Amino acid sequence: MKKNFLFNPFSGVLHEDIPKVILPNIDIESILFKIQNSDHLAIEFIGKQGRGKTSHLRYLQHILPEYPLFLLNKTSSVSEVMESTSEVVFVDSIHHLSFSNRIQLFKQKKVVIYTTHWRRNIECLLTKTDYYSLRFKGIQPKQLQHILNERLKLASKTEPSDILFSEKDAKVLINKFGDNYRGIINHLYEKYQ
Amino acid sequence: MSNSILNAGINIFGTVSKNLYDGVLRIHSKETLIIDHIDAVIYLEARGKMSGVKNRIVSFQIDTKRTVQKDESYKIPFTFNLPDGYIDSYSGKNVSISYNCEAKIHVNEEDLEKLDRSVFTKVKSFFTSDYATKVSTYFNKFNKEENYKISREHSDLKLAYNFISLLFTTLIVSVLFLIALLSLKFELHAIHGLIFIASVALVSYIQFEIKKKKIGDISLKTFNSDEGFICAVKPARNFSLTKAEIYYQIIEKVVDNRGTSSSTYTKTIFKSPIKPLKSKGSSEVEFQFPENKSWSSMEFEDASIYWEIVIKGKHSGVSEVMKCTIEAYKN
Repeated sequence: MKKNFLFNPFSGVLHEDIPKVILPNIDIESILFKIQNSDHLAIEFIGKQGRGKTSHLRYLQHILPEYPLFLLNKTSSVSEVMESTSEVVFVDSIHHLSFSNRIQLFKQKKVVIYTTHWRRNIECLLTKTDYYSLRFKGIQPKQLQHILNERLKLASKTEPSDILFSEKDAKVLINKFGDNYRGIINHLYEKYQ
Repeated sequence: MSNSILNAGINIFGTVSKNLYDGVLRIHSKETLIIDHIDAVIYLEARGKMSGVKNRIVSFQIDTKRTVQKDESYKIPFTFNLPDGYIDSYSGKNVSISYNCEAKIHVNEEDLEKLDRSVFTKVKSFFTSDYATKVSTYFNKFNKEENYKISREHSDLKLAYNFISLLFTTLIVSVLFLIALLSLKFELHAIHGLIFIASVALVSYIQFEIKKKKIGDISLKTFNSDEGFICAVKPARNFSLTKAEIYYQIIEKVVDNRGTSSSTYTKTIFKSPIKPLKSKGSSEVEFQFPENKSWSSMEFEDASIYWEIVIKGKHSGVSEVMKCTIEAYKN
């Protein structure tokens, strides 16, 4: 690993550091308003893998830590979410729950904010849940530049003025990887490891 | 030297004895300050192609009720004990595991005004509303004295799926499918694609099970020796892998569960010399341990290091591989 850094700047971010490196590309205030003022709502973060859905979900949960975050995987069950007494839940990878479990979840919880690859509007229709979908797609060079440089600063031992990414560097990465933010980060991780 | 009023640094020197570490906290202040207490926490961190993890291991107090005089430097020594059972530090291709010592200097409330608050990282103390200055350092935990030991309990050797066989199966099924398509002259629909994939999967499975029975079983026992370990291999009577060889490898594995889909990254970090097995009857093969002592079997969150015994040989002219995982630990 390069000597200027305490740790690889492109490794997985600790939950506590997410606000330091994220540049939200959604209207956070509007989402917070909806969460706090809706009676029955599903907020969907949709897009291909590596586009920042989970990062934004975790960032929102950081702002609202009183509501739990569930990072689902193949072995997860709906009970671990349903057992939570919170009316508002953050659920990552909701596709790991079956269709009937998602129906159960939407029926019981007041607000569900979740990430997914595919639209879940049918479940919302069947449970009469208001549906608000945000697509994660595309990334601007300036946005990427900011995110990468914030990661460099977080990991640096001293002020990293001479090793920051330029907008041109960001454009080169976007040309190579498109809007696959995870692909960019993994590529840089290997370079810096 | 920074322009801050209070400068601090921390160093961890290493182990005094097993699990007992010593370090020093250096403080220099441009103003006379009263420090109420200095607390420290040791964290175990894993960072890599996975969600970052930071777990609290142990906390202790470095100092209490100290007055630092203006323009004087202080070195405050401290020791701490890491509990047994924690993994060694590791730096690999896809993950780094390290320890972090974080100290918080709690300046007395009455002296807070002397500090330049715009410069420091401010952290609210859990117990009071005081502000604290935070300083941290990473350090490595290695136990170079202890040698590896292999656990006698391990899984059975299992035949691994062979890509060449799968390719061959796919080719056969494709040809049959094509013949059926041309002779029956049906229109292709998506359902036929699904039937094709299901056929390949079924034929592959049947072919694999037949091959497994034909190759036969081979048992493995492991014993520790002075410099390494011994593999005692005993093939069943019908065992039919020819030109069989054995080696072991150490693999780093990281499961990237960040986001809505997961990926698995593996890297072979060590491969032993390959040794031949006898063509008939049992064999005993001795392997030396690697020089690097930080590769014990471990699993921490989404990262793991595992050791694998590999037996490779030929069956019907095709290379086949059998593998099992063994546990390597240190006392």
